[in-house]
Amino acid sequence: MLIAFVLVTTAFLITGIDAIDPSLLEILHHPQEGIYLVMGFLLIAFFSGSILLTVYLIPEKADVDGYEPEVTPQIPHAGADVEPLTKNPFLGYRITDDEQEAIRTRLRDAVLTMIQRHTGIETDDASTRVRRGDWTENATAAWFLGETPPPRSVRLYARISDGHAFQHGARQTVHEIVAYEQRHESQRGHAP
Amino acid sequence: MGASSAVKQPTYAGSALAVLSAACVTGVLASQPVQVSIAGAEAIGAFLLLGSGLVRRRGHRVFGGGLIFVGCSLICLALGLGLLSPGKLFERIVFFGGTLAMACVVLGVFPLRQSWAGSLIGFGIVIFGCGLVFLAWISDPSSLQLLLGVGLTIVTWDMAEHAIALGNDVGRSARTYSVTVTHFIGSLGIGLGGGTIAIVVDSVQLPAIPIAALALLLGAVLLLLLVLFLGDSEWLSGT
Amino acid sequence: MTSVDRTHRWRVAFAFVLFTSTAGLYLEAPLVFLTSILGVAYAGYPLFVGPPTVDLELSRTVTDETPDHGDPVTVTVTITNTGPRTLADLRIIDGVPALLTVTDGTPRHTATLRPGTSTSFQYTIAAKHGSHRFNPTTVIAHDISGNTRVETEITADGQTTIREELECTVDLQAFQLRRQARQYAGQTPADAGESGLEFQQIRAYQHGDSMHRIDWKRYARTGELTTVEFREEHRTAVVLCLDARQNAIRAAGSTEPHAVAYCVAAAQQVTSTLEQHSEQVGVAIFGSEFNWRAPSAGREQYAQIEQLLVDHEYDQPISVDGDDITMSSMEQVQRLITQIQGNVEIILFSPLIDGFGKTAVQQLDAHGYAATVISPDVTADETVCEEFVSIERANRVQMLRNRDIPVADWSPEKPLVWPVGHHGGVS
Repeated sequence: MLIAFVLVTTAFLITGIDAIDPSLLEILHHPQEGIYLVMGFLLIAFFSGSILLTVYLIPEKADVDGYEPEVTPQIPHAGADVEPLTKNPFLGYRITDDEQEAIRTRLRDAVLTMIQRHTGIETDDASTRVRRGDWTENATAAWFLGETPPPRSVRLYARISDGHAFQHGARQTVHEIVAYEQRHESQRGHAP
Repeated sequence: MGASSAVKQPTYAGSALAVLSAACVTGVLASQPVQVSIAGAEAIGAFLLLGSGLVRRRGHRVFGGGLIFVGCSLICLALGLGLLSPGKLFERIVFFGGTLAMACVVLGVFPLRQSWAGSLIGFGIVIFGCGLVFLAWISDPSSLQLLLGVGLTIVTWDMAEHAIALGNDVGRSARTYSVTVTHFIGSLGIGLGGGTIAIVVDSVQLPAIPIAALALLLGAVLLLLLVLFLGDSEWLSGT
Repeated sequence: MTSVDRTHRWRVAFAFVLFTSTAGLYLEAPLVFLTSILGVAYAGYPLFVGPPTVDLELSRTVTDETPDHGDPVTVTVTITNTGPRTLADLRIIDGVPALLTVTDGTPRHTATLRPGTSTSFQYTIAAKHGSHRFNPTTVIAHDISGNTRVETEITADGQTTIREELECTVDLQAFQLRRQARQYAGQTPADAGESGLEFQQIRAYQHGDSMHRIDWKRYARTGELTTVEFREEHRTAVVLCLDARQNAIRAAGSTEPHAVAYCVAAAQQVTSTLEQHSEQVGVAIFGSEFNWRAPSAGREQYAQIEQLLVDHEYDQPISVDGDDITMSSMEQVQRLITQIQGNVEIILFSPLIDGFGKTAVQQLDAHGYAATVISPDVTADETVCEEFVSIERANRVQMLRNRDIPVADWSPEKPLVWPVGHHGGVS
């Protein structure tokens, strides 16, 4: 504030002196007055500019509340946990041995109950069917859950690694389970 | 329509006013009649580009796409013609800067990319400012012309930033005309007031105020304002 | 909650003045120097206008206060400036209930309001099951230069002009407890002698007692008429179990509420039905922590249950390692089993999209508690994964039904028809 007042008074003083008698200012004159003036102003401009810039560059208070009134918050869909299984085996998703066993059990249980649900046969019969691979036409799915020989595609994947073969098998099995369900649902729909 | 979060893009009303002011600045930068018409063509292209968003929201996707195509072509054409238009080299450079700056502003509020909006507009405004200073240096524009250019440059920046901020708060689908127009009138009023003072100062031929005094005076005013701003709210509210 | 911020947006004008004045001096162009005056004017612009005073009155009305699931509800919001000054730049963002989506219009609005004038806007939301509470309306006011930003929230605070709740109750049909089903259906399951009715005490015969309840052996022995009193039916308590685990926070689509919200909505409806019959109700919530309220009746109890349930309606998924949670949720079931005493009927609300619900019910069933499962269907059939999970869920429903546990496979678009056991019916 004080500096500003000093500047203002000086400015008025100079203007006043200039108005009264320009020659009074001669003492202030210097051969290179113009350059000094410009340089001085440039200096001031530079400093105040940099102050301004730092103030300007301080990150704005981020709009923290991400509240959007229009939409419901993002909630995972049912089935999000199975998603990695249905991806291409080459997409770099690794499954440990324990997980493999868990997944295999889960798929097998799903298939067993599904078969029972649709055909009404006993658990032992259903598990025999799964073991023999009779429940599906898909050789990969049959191999994955049963004891049938692996088809060529599985052998190809197995040549890369067992993990890839597993993923391929799991993917095919999930697809096959869904196909099986759809087949039986539509049959039920046609024959009420 | 389905549920979608608000499209947080610059609002149409504010963007249109920003583009309009930008077109006027480009017109100020034009020194030949042909350049004025080029600026006009670019303005039409800019409005088509803005309008495409509205049209697409109403569901006419193909029509909107067509508008985008025509608008972009017009802007590109204007850029090319601005570079090739007749006139002296410096005038051509200044005018090309104007067309480029306007294209930046349009792409900023279109927006080309949400996170780029502010930077594009800032870039456009800097080019406008440099162009105006350059114009004042090389040719001899009237003070009214220059003040108009400078004032409208600031208004362009103001409206564009306002449109971005408003869009951030309420999105594109909200009705924003009244607020935008109020803000525009406010900024324009200040511009007119400042311009009038500048013209008065310009016309009152005081017996040669030494430039040193003027510079000091300006520095003092700046410092005062800066203190008022940075010295935070308590100074303001304390009085 | 009001926050006053300075945007400092006109600082740009300072930079501009520095640029033009420096350039003017350097290029010795007085005109350029002159334009600095314009910049100074803009830099001082915010000083001419004061910060806005936000004095507003809000009213919110809805077309239907108790809509059905899926109904469009139009919300009308009116804002009046009751302050002494014009608000140049007012931005209003209405607090749509968190689980509802806007289907038409926008809950955001802007206006310039002179003192005493008002503005209103409308938008439409799609109602979903549950009791939904509007969030406070956010109001952002700028002065005309945009330098000051006042952000505040307008809450109802008991004002009647602001509608705050939207009740979209579950249409509960054919609700009955399992013991009632037993009573009225006239079928007595084989094990009813052991767990259905419990011998409690013998007391002197009173006029009106059932002949069947008289202890004839005792009469033959001692000659006095006594009535055998069984543990009375209405003293059976009901425990509502809510599956609010992270794994249950799943939705069928991006605009749908998640399974826990549906479970809460159904549980609320069941609670209010039980409240009408003054039943003893307890609640157990399996979630990130185990919440348990022992069964009892009374207004306070119902209110607290309601509160406990509502607390979970807006649960959000957080990323936690899934395995730990499944472990601890099974521990929670164990804790529930140790907590409950006596003749308790269990109603479990679970989407059954993973093994938890089925295992929990099977355990409770094994301990002899009559359980009913209400399962909102949040599976979809758009991707293979979704279909696979829906098959697994169908499997679980079937397996539970095979064990004579009534399961309501409730798709939230339809009324919730209370399930009855398949005693004798299927097997």
